[in-house]
Amino acid sequence: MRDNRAIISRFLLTLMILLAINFFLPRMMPGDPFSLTSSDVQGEDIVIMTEAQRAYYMEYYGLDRPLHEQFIIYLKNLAGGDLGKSISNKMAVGDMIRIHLPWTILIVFGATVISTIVGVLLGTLSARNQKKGVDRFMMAGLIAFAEIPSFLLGLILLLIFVVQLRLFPIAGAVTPFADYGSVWSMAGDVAYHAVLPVLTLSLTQLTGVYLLTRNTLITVTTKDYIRTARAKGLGERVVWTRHALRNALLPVVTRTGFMIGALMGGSVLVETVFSYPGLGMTLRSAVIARDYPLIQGILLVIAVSILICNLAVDLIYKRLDPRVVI
Amino acid sequence: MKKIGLLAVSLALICIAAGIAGCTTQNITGSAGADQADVIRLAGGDYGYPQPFTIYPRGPGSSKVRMIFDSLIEKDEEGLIPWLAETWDISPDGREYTFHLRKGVRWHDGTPFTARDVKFTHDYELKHVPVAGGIEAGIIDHVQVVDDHTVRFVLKEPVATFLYKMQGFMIVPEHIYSTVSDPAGFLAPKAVTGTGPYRLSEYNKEHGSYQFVADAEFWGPRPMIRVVEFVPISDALISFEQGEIDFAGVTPDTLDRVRSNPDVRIVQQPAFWAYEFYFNAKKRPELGDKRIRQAFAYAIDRNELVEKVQRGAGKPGNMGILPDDHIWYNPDQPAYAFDAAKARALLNEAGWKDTDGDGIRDKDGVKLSYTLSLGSDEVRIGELIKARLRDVGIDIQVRALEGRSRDANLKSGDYELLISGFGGWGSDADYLRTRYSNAVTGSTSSVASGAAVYGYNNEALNALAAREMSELDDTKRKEIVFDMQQVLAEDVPTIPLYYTTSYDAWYISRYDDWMNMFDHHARTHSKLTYLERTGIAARR
Repeated sequence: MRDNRAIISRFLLTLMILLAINFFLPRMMPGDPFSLTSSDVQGEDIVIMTEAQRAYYMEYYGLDRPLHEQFIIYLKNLAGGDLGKSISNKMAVGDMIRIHLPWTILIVFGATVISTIVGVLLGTLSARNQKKGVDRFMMAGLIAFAEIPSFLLGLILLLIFVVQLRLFPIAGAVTPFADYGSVWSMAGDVAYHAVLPVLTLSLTQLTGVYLLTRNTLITVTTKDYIRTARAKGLGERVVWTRHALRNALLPVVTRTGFMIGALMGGSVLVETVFSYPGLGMTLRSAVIARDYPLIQGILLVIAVSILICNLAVDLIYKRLDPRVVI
Repeated sequence: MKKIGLLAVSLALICIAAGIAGCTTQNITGSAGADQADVIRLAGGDYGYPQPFTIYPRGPGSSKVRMIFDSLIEKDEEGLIPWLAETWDISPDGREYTFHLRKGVRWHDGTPFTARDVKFTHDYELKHVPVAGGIEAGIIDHVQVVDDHTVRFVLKEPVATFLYKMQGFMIVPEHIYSTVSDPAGFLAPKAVTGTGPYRLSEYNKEHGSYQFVADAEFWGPRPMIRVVEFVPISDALISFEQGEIDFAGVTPDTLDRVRSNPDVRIVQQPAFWAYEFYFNAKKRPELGDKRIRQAFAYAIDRNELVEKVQRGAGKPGNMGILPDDHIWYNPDQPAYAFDAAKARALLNEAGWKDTDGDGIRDKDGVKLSYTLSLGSDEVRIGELIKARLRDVGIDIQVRALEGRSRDANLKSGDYELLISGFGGWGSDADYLRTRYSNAVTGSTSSVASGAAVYGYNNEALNALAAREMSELDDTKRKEIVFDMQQVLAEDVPTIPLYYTTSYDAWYISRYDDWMNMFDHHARTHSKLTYLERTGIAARR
């Protein structure tokens, strides 16, 4: 259990560094939340504040104090569980995150499951048909896919499935003002709205899982224990699932943990394309508005969830592969 | 928002691919459309809880506040009209405005509206500054309640635009707000108790949707739409085509997609949004020479910008600043049609010549070489300007910045040349004073990014501006504003590159009575657009 303690103290140290970066980085961006003078979009309306208004709001949010003082206040509040108040949304950051996080979890989790399962299946298929047509076709196709940036992929899906085929809703996470008869119809509506964002996110990660599975499987199948298994007279099916795949899956598990981080990052773009009300879209608007408390809060949540995933991967890995010492 | 542009381009491609690009233009004649509707859906998005202290500074939050709250004065297509105040008297010295309030007006909770609410709102907002819907500090000395239905505003000095400012001053209920110590955090249902035509029946911050329901007991003109909903969309045009929303702003390059529908009416918006090109004479003293600035005005082809960047959907800028659609636009002012020869002549006259043969003019070892700061969406404008200026011997490096970084530079004066786009060009012409007068005359001070920052100073303009601010007779004030435009057009303190003209499209059969305010481009932002209008203007 010494190992676990080491893991946890490393976790805490990382967290402290993250807190400092999260605090100072947003404040190093030029501008402040109340110095808006140009529209970002043609025709957009903005309220250009007078200096008196600006001074009032800087004081109201404590932004007129020295930075180190603000940092200490931030840490104190954080220790008490208070993430502060969003400047652009006039709402507690904790509440903002509570509202938006579930949507991101939904699509990130969905994308993780789908890309892992489909990736492993395709990777196995490819490895079993190594150097044959199916393998080559999939390799080329999926690698090409991986090169498409997620927002472009999202737009393409949007154009095909929404504009052309009209199969899916264009935006949002639920039908506005809908009155659901049952939990099931609500779940159905949520799933219906989540299809395209999840699909886009999955596709961005699919290639990685696929390649990893395929390549590890090919490496594993040349190992002695596979030959032994075959020599014992085991069927091909058992050899592949019990012996090859099981060993090949170890790196896939690791990758899944790291993938969460990439997916969280990718959700910023994908949520923006689909106007999906998750943390990513909220982060984007928070950065544009220089809403420091909200940026800090969201970055913290993303960082902590990545840390937890990595921690979980470390712990799970140890159980899967007893040889590993962390 | 680049994604919209990308989407538009992709849409255009698909349109061609599907072979429907050849949609023919169909003229829509003035067939009578619906003059009332049960539910109208508009493009939503979260712009904050619709009370004066909690909306966001960006986007159409304040127009949603206006659906619930009333001001003493409202505005229609032509000018100011009485609203909660039926009439008003102005003292001869222009310092006292006595408003006679409408009787029988009640707050949505049934409490009578009185003059005390007006005084309370003013006093309360001295301590708690609203995001929008307030009056800037320093104009009003005090407000006194004369009786239940009469309230007097005493100003520190005469301010010509006082009534204009009052149309944005939203009255909040004393009996609710007097106990609220933090209005910026006041999100209770009670917070949206107003006297206006609509009540907020649903607001979903997470999804950015609002639902407003007409108040059956509204004191004023009958609401013609029972329910107004703002729903989340990702692309207005697609949502409009699919009938999810009943009204949309349409860009010119996608106009053909809706034009073929006989049930869609398309109307051009007034051009009240513009890009301004700034010269910073504090960084580069030669920009203080008006001949150089005039040379820029001749050398930059503003028509080309409109054609190439805006695809024709704009009007080239006037050096007198006010757009053609402004009610006080003076057509009689020096024009600066594209003329490279004239630009070269002016630069020669000012002593700037290319002495070392590198194609860039110089004088006393200084080159006419500048950094032009702009937002990342304005790079195309920057590149076209760069090519044109190069032709007359001025060198430009385009520096694209993220929006807020550019804003920070604009305010601190940390730039040589800069482009910024913003709206409000239809507002009261007093902005010619706050933006270009260097002498801070009186209490309504200049804007933070104005003349003082970039070192522009013209005594003739300062003098006109001082007169303009205190001239209470609108006919005379208009004459002064006309003179100011001539001075500005001669002097070119900045260059308005072009004013954008977008289009509004709506389904005639759903609701056809959309209306503009005289100073604003968006029809959906007008309160009157949702109300029966017969007889309103008659009360002007």
